[in-house]
Amino acid sequence: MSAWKKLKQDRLAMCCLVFLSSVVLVGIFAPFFAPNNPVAVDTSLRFAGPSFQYPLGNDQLGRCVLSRLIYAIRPSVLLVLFALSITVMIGTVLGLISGYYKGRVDNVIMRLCDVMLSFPSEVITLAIIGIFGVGLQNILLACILTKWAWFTRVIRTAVMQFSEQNYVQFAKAAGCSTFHVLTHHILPMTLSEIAVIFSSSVCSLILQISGFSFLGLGMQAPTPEWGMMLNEAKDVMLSYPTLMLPPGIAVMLVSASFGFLGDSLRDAMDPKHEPAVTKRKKIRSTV
Amino acid sequence: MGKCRTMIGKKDINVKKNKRTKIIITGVLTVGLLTVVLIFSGCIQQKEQSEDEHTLIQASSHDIGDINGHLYGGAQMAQGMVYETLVENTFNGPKPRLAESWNISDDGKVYTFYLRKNVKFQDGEPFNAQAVKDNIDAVQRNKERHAWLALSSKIVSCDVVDNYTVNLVLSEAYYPTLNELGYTRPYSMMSPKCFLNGETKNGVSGHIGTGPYKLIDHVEDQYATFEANPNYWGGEPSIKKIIRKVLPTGQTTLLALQKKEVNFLCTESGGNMLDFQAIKDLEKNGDYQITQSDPVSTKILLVNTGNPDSPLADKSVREAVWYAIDRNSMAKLSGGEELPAETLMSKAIPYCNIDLKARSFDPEKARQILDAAGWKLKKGAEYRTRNGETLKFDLCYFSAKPEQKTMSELIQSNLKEIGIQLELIGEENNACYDRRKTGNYDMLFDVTWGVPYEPHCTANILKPGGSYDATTKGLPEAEKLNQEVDDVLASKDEATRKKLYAEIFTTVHEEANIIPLTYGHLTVIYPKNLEDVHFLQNQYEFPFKDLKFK
Amino acid sequence: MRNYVAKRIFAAVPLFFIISFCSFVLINLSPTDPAVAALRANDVPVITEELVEQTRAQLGLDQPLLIRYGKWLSGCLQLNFGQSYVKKISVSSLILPAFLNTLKLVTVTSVTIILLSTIFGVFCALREGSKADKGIRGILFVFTSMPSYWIGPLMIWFFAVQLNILPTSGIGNASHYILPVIVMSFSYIGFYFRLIRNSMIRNSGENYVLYEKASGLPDRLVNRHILRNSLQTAISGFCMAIPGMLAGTVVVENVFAWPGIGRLCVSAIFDRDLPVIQAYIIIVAAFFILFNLIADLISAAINPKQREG
Repeated sequence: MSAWKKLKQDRLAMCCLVFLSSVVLVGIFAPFFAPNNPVAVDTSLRFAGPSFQYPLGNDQLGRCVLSRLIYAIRPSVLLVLFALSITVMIGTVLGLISGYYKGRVDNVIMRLCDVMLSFPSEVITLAIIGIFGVGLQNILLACILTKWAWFTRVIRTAVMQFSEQNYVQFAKAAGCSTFHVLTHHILPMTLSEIAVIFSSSVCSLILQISGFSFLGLGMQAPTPEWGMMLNEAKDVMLSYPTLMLPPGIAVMLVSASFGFLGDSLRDAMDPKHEPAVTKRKKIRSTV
Repeated sequence: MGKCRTMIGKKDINVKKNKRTKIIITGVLTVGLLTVVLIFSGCIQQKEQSEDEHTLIQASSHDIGDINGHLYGGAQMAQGMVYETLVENTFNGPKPRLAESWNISDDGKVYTFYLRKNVKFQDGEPFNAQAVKDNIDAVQRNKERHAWLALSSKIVSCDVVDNYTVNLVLSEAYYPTLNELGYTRPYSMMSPKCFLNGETKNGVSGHIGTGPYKLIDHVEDQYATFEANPNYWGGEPSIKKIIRKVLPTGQTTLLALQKKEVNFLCTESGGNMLDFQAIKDLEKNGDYQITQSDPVSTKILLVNTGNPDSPLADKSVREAVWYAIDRNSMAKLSGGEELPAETLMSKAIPYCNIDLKARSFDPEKARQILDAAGWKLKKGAEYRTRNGETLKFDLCYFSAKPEQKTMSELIQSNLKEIGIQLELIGEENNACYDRRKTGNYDMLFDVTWGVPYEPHCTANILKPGGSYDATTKGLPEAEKLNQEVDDVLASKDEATRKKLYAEIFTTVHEEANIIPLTYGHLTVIYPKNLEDVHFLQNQYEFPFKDLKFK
Repeated sequence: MRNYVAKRIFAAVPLFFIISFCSFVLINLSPTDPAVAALRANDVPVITEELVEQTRAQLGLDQPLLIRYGKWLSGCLQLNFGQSYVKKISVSSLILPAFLNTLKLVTVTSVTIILLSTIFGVFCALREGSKADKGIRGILFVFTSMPSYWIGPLMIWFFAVQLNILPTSGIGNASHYILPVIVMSFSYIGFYFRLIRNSMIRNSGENYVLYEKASGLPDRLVNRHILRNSLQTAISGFCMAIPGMLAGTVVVENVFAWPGIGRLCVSAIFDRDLPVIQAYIIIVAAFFILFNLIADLISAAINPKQREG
């Protein structure tokens, strides 16, 4: 069974995929979907409840909560995906080099990884904010800096596994260039591994980045961002508790969907693994 | 045979499966039970823990720190409970505290203080002229540290005349001397026994003053406990115990108030904004009362005039900004805690009852000013331009203060209305202070210190080298302003002083280099049965000794 | 085995030095002058140049970087992290009680997480694909995806104020642990639960399981073997739970006013209290390395194959 077919059978995974793609689409085409201007201030609508024009009500400056929620997809999800893609690229290149060449190169890269992994990522992030100043781009930079080591390690392990395989040995013996071997024989095999860690780390990264925005270190006002919206809502939690819900639920749904997707991907890509239900059926049919 | 074994195995599966489920269920139940037990034990212990009703438990966002009264690291509110000064600043000017009375020589250079006689430090040491000399000398030996306070550079010596009389000799006349001696720091009186080798600048061995409360317990970042001083010269305070608990600001504090884990809260002006609606609800529910002070400080925008390339070097742009900001809406953001401010100094501040032209919210006028200054709005354009340059500048605010962010967002939207592009930069405190010091900003959020520091301290920092100097650097009147500040601080009679202050603050107002936003109050939330709640002149302190329970 | 242990320990030592050096340099790159920050943290209202120079000399900041590093490191090795610029007391007397508080919270949380994730993990692995499995997986995923700064205040509001059965914040008796532990467990349990579940499932596809099943061993025994083997793979994950959480308590400590190391460090970062930040980094990093080492050694003891690698 191909991985895609397996994934297609997993209804939950498909739901997540559909949900996430629509979130991404809505984020990209935010101006079409948002009912109002997300930064338009109107203090007469301060903390107004839901209305026809403002379906989720208004915040402390009378801005449309729904529009802010929609525009916030851009920094909260799209930028995270972008930063992670860069991280994956770095991790893949280094992982390939390290896993394929082994020896001294591998040693140097791995020690570097060890050093990076010995720092709590929160501390690196705070240090970078301290050096370069507050802003989302610096947090993203910090994420790249802290996560590449992890990706490199995972990909290296996968590469090492595959480069021992017969067909790779064969390709090498047949005189294919290293580049060819790496890109045509090893990289495709590690793709599944990459896809899995990618989707599961999106999940944690979204939480982490909105966490920094929550601490006031991320996105610059007034650009809407989920963590920042939560932070603003938290200050009036007792009098206007409903303001906590939209951004909180948005973070939760998106990050949970990525988590589910990552898990299902792992199952689907694992050639040894079949859903237990079918396994049981098979056993029964043989008996 | 093999078949047989598999069959047994299958039967096994079902039986074992049930067993396993049981084990798991038991496991989950045990954990659940444990939690419940923990919760109950928690409840029981909590009841024991709750303090008796006549203890004041204050919530505070930060630890009291090192409350050495000659330095600035500790919480001033706590320092004010433990230490006292010779003079007390009140709404009616300096009043006797540890000094019963004083004389000022005709040339204004010698101050003679007659000390109160029945005063002892909390460790039993007598308070006398020698103690005063020890304290003032210790402070003066660390003079660089107190450079912000002009008095520290003017004290020549402190001499013991007799056991209860001291002379303070100044190098020149300095009218705010009594006022500055009344600041809890640095000129507060600590027991000389606590000094380390006669010094206080490197720390002290104990925190012992003459004040109404003693610090008896302190756990860093958790709580500090104060007990009434039974031998206080003004009579033992009515509230015997005050615990100051460290809680994060905002909701946690309000929740703790609601649960009565704490029962007293004093907001810090310029600190974090509290959800005022929720505070009102607390009052409505009947357990708490609220009292608000008069305005104590002004939230302001510092405008950098020192950069000739910036559009803000032009007075008309600064005026347009002033007209464009909707202060009434801004004041409403705080839920009723603040008032719109039209002048840097409120009229209640000494020497500041000056008639100044209010620049009330008037976007149309702002547009006209900009048009006249050559900043035109092209058809269809969002922002104004002049000679191809867009009308655009930055506003820096303290990201740790959410209210500043909200206000900045409002200002941004106000300015957009008249075609100015405002970029917001929120940064942590140190980065903002760096900008203020080096003048690396277009506009910067700030809050004034309020009386008793005002107006003379604010006037003082307008001078070159002061922290507001970037706002005056580019003004045509810069030199005149500088001279006036020097003159006013050395002035000897009220009339000159009044005239000079009026000139200084009129210039600052006319030039619009410091744009006032709102006046902030202090708010205290306290138990219904607490009486005599009032405020001191200094917004950073609170008169706990005067409070009583019914 | 002895060789392996020696090799691993030997490799950990230079790592420690590199990390300490990196953190020292990194922190010293920050644009704000620590002398100025120290003055400001003490609320000195007006800072003059002479005052900065004086403070700089007082704090030993006028010496070259390498000398400062050397002094600092030799101090650290004797658990002397210097003086806090801001609080004027030794960093160790600040950081050690805070560290113990965090450690208490982290230990309780780790135990909770390990217990619950093993129970749920085994339960779900045995019923892979069933409704119960999907349900529990779903719920735990949702828990993990809830930002702790969101769920924390909500839980305080519900349990402490509405039901009035738990304290809102602070440290004290056992009841003070419940909310922070729950909120922290939420964010980590999903990961460890999946670790156990997936390694159980992977193991159940192994040949030895097929063989055991084929030879008719009772399921109970087979499952026990699977569990034992998957726990081995999970152990290294669990070992990293404590140091991982040490660094991740910042938000929870801030929400619940827990006087721990994360809160201390954040306030130090805002005050630029460099000695405290450096001590924080070095302590957490040392714990990271230590537990990494322990994890490696344990898995090497269990799985001899690894010792060769």
